[in-house]
Amino acid sequence: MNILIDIAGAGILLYAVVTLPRNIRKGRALRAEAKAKAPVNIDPAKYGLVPAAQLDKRFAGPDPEADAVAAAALAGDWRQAAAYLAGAGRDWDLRWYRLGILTHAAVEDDAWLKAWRTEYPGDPSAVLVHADALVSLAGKVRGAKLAKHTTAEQFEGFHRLLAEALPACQEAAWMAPEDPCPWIAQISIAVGLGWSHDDFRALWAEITARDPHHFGAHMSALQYWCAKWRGSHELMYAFADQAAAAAPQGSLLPVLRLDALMEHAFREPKAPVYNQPFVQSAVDATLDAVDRAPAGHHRLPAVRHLLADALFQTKRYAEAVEQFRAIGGYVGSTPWTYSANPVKAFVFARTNTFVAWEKAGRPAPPPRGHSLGY
Amino acid sequence: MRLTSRPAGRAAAAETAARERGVPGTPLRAALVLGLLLGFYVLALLLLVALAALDVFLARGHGFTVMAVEGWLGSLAIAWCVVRVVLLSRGAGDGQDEEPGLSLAPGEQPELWRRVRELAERVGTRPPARIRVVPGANAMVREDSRWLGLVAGERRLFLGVALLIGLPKDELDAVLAHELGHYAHDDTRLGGLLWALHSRLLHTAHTLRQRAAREEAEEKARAAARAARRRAAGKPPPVKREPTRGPDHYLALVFSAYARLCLRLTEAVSRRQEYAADLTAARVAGRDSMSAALRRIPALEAADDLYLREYALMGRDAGLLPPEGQFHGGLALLLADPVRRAELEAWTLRPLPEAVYEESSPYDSHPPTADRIAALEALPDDGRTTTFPRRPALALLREPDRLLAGLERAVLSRETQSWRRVPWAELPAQTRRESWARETGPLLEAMAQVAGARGVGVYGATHLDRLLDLIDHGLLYDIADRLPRSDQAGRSSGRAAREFARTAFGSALRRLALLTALDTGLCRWELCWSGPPVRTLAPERFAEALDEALDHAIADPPTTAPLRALLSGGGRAPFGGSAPPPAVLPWPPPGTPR
Repeated sequence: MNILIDIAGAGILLYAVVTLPRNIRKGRALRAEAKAKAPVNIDPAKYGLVPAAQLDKRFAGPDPEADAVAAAALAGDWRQAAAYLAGAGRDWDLRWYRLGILTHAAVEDDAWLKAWRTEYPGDPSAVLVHADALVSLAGKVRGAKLAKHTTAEQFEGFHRLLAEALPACQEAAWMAPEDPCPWIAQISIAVGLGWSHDDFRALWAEITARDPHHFGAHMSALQYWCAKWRGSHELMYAFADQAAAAAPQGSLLPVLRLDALMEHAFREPKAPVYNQPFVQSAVDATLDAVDRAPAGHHRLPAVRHLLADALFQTKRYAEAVEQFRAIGGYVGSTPWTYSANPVKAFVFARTNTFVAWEKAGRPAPPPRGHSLGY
Repeated sequence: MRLTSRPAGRAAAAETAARERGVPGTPLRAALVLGLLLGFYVLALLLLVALAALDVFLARGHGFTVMAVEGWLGSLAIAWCVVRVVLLSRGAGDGQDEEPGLSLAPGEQPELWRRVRELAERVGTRPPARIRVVPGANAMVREDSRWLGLVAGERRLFLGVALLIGLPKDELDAVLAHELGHYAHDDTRLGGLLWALHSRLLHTAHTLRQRAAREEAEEKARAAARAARRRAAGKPPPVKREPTRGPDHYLALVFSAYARLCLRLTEAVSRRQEYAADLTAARVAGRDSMSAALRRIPALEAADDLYLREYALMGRDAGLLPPEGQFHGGLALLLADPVRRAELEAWTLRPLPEAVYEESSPYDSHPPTADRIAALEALPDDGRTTTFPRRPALALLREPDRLLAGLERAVLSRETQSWRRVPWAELPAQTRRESWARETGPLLEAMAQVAGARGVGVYGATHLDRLLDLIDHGLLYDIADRLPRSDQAGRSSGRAAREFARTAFGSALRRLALLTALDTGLCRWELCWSGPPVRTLAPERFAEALDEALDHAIADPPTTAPLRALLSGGGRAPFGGSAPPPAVLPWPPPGTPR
């Protein structure tokens, strides 16, 4: 018996010795493969970037005035909020943007809004904030998951709130006939309740009659036309192309096509979305629009997020580096918010952009063939 | 392996059926089954022999090479799996010992026994020694043969209670003759052997698959643990390797393939036996009776299924049962309903679906019913027509109610039998009352707590009145906050949390309102044998009015007047007196138990 054990032991030893070089080779190859796959890390400080831990997840960009107004409103000072909204005047997109700030606060706590409405029941702005807050609250109750991951309880609250929101929007529209905002708020209701294309086009006609190139309205309507809600890839691209083509000089609407690309890529992660022939021209048009926009434009941060992602996806790293630098320390915007971990998604795109840029020898962005006309 | 290529035409199908009606004799069948059973062990042994041969071959090579040692170790591992799973493990009992249903003694049911014995005589075989009634619309025979089926044993006949309730007497005769025909052809002799073969095969394939799955899961867990260790140590994650499959996986493939072969062969024989038994039944009970029974049984099965699901188990959530003996017996009430009967007749008489030819599987133990009927209808007319009036088979039984009650005791679990018995007419309303009362429990509790804590005196006559008083006092959210919360509600905050509380409160309030409507007789829920099982009798536009009133009651600020008015009759006397007759509404609203 002993001899058998000896033989077996010797055999195993021999086997180990014989296969040693092969295993070493194999291990080396596997380690190299793993290294290629492992996440790359860079030192953000070296490039003047904000470290991942300090990124702001709530907002697309800095807006101290909005923060102050929201804080004041939640503390009970509705007059500052009312003045902030009134300050937008007839810049309907700015009004829509500021309405978003107030709505966000009203969804948290509506005591200040109630005080405002009690004191001035006939104030169209207060009614508008109330209506839009109902729409947002409905979305918050529903949650952002797909229908199959949403409970009957969530849907019940969602539908009840939307049913309350629609008459509120109509009242606000009746009180301020020129303002497109009460109509734009209804786009989310149309998405949530699945309005027919005809009904939606009627709503859209009301909006474009008041402001044909409203940025927020177009971003919201693109959602209606995407495949995940009531449209399709074709309808979405058609809407984005038409809006971008009709946009006047100085409008940021060209970014709509990048938004459409992002929606498409998010729904079909395997599809070669960014290889489509029109992508480069859409990116160029958006770059031009961003160059022309005045510094501090309220939509610029959101546009830069989409633009940076599109530049990264199309491997135009030198230009992407510029956009990531301009974005700074904020990640609270699409496309990152579509990810389960927005910070991770943002840092992934940013890091890989800078690594690729470094590898290419830190090239300067190519000059674009247009004159910067202000 | 397919026995017949199925021709499209019905007549051609009948011809094929007639041709394949030849059933191999008992010794031949016994040899087949025995061969397959032995083949299973031979397969295992062959595997072992092949492994041994490989080892010998390796040993005869030049000395102890690394290859040879690897080969020996591998073959040892495989051999261990074969021995461990295939030869050593035992199946979990063969399950033939449990006897479902209720045994009928000859003294208790002399007419049925006489009928079975008469038919056995005409078929030309020994009658069964025991008859058992089982739930369902099935009939089957079994025989405890000995010596691998060479010596006949005790014969048992199982009769589905739905057949006794739903078949006319002459068709039950045909079914009995068919089953007795199986005895006459000694089809049941090999039952035990076949059972042994099937359970052995299934057990082996199942065990091997389970072991393979367990091995894979363990390997995954090990890999995950290793990755976690490396993460904790701050090293890069380990390189992913393709999962290796153990010998169990490959053995499972081999034995599954063998099991499929066995099933194909034995079930092909079973299908031929069915045609032969059909012929016997046609001879004894008449061609038309047998084909009528074959047409009726699928419809009866569907009716029984519907009856059990929608009627007998209507009160399952509330813990209620129909009266004693009615759990299975209520099927007679369903079948007595003219609307249902017309539906079943239409089903019975409809043309047989052609698609069945495509769907028939080589693993079925029975041929497609359409083929069996076609084969029967291809027989010459025997001149026997169905007799009128047709007596139901239940007339053969003495004291059917006692039999049905006995069957319930034998079949239902002890827990189910302890449920409260309620007359049929009250079952829908009682079911609703019980479940609504249970669902409103948390609401009433929250209400009592709030009323106590706030010291609000409430003097309403009903729970609903008291609750509405509390809402009028502005305590809606105090009560709503005490209701149980869903996960999503628990994670929310601020206004969203309040909306979740409002939703939960609204649905509890709806239950309470419906309970009140039921208790005050404003709405009635009646049993209906002909359509959907429960019919709601409510005042006109009650459902819409309730929805609207509930919306008002939970609005901000709340208005309880519409709900009070609706449930107190609101000037519209709900029933009786000079009130208009109640409209039948398509109800209940979604979310209430039906």
